[in-house]
Amino acid sequence: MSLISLRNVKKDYPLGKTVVHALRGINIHVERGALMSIVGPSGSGKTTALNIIGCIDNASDGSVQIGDVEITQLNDQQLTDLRLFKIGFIFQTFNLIPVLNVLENVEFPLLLMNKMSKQERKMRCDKFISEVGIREYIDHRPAELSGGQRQRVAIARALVTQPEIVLADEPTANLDSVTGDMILQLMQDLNRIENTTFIFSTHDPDVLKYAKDVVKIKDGLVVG
Amino acid sequence: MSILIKISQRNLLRHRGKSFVIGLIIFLGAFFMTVGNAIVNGMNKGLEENMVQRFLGNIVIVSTNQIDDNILTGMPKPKKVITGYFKVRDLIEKDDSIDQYFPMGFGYSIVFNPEGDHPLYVMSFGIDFQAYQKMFHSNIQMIEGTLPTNGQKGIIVNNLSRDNFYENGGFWTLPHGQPVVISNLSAKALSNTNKLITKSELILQGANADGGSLDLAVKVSGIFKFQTMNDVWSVINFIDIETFRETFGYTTESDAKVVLNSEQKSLLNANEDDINSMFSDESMFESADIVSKKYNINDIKKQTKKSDTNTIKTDPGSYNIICVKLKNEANTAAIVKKLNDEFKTNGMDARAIPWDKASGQIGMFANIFRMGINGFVTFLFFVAIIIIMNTLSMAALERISEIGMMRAVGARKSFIGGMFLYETFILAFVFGTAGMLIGTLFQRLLRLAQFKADNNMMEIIFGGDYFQPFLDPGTVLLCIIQLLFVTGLSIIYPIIVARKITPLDAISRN
Repeated sequence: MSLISLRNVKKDYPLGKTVVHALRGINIHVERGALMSIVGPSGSGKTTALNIIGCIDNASDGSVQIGDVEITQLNDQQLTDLRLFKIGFIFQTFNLIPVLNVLENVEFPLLLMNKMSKQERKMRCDKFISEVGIREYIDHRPAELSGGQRQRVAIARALVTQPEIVLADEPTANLDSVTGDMILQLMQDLNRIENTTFIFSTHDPDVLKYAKDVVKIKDGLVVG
Repeated sequence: MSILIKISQRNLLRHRGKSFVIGLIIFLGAFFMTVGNAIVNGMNKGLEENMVQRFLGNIVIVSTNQIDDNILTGMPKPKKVITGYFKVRDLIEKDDSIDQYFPMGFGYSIVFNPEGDHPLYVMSFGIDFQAYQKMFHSNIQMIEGTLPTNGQKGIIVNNLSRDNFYENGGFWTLPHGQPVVISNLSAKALSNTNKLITKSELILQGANADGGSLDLAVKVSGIFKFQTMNDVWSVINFIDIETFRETFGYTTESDAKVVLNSEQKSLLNANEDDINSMFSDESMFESADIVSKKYNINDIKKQTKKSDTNTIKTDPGSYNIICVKLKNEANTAAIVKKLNDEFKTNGMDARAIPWDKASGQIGMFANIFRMGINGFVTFLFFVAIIIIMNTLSMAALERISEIGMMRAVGARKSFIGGMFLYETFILAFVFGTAGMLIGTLFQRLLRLAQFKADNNMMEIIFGGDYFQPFLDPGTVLLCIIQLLFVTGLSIIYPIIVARKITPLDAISRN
């Protein structure tokens, strides 16, 4: 059974008097432990697909399953909990909490989960902060970090809950190529070591070499 | 420390400018609210002390024939006597909610003035002086002469009424046997000391509702002023209750039995046909023996002079009003209703009125002023709510990325709402407390400044002779509740805005 199944998923956005068909009925199946890249030009619908998988956006039509849960039937609170416990996000613009330092940002989802002791949280955060290589910046706030360092914090935050799925929307778009490669290498390593399922979107062909599976989207349809 | 508290506190510091603007609005709101409440509270306390405790009581009982509730101000109206006073007295004595009561004669009197062009009008209270002082916290302060004691008779005149008598009647009232006190003369009287006409006896006539009244010479025992609000009550003068009843014709025994001689009886029995016989020579002239005798004028005066302790046969139950003090003034409205129900059930000629209605325009003006202050504070609240609400809503929209990201990584709507609530309540606590403290300090300064009321209206607004805003624990608690209420109302809409922010909004914005 696939970890993620999208069946005939459509997404329409009203734009003034017209309707934009962002997804026209896509089918994607992702296995556990996958390192999948969704590629396509700008406006092809890859971000929309990621948002639907990540329970951030809802499909206009079709079926979306994560594990055995049909997420199109869930309410806001259930979707929020699903995001918290099963999905990690890495955003293009990092989206860290500006008033929290590195440790606190990474710890944030664990605090929301409210299931661990302080000691356990500390150990978990230390582990992932070390893994992404920003241990020396643990007390720094996002404004005091470079783009690459911020993205590492975002990765640590996405992984700290040990989610089944990590979604990354163009994670290297705002990074220079060297830092971008380092981030993708890190994701690849974590996929191998932690067996975490990674799905990342990109329109950069050079990034594809890091992916085990590639889904090509064009004009809202899966083309390969 | 909870992550919510940590984020909220740091956000407040991060957005210092906005936090300060919102805090300043809360500060000003708390400040004006505290001062406004202190003014209203001081006025209430002043009126409670000066109107209720020192003058009228919580409730005034009048005759059911007294149509208007306003018995103190407005156009002078004759005051009706409470019929069956003793039954009413027995009823209120049995009432556990009543602390004290005091029956009084009350009416408008005319002071006849041979020296002036016009008669003078005063408001007269017929009282037992000692009992009055005991009930109303020694509100009568003697300036000249003495307060009649032990059943002595006489009138005590308000110092401002005396000034008025001189202004409009041309005579200076002096307590019996007392010299003129120069320092107490009005400016006009002082300019005319050589020709000063003094009087120690006033000819009074009661303006009785039933038309029966007497002219009576009443000895002036003293000149007084009220401890507080003397300007407001300047027309009120006190007469001993017996003399009061006499001037108002509230007599019983003297009228009850008239013994007629045989001639008077035959006159009453005469029919119309006999009318001419009444004017016959036989009837019109009577022979008399004339004897010369020397009279000593002092002996005659002595014989005709009314003794101070002379018993006048007045109705001992003739009272126009009964002032009632309650054990708990908070229950005034309920007790008024209960008394009125009991009066009605027992067929009594009595009607209970709360003091503010009985005092007419004074109570009304006090209520209007109170409403004005409360209205001003409410307006401030309204403005503060709008400004805070708008600023916080803008702040929520400016933080779409941050809030949306929090939602994306698993923060529930309640977390976001809690974060905004906490931020606002920190501001309300810090700036609201500062506003209340400064407001309290300002209120203390106003008290220390001892602003004196210049006129009647100011005395009513101040609730006494001096501006005495007052904060008690109850008022402070009220301020805190009001502040929480304002903060709570201000935050509702921004929280709704913040809760509506979705992760998708954050992504779209980026």
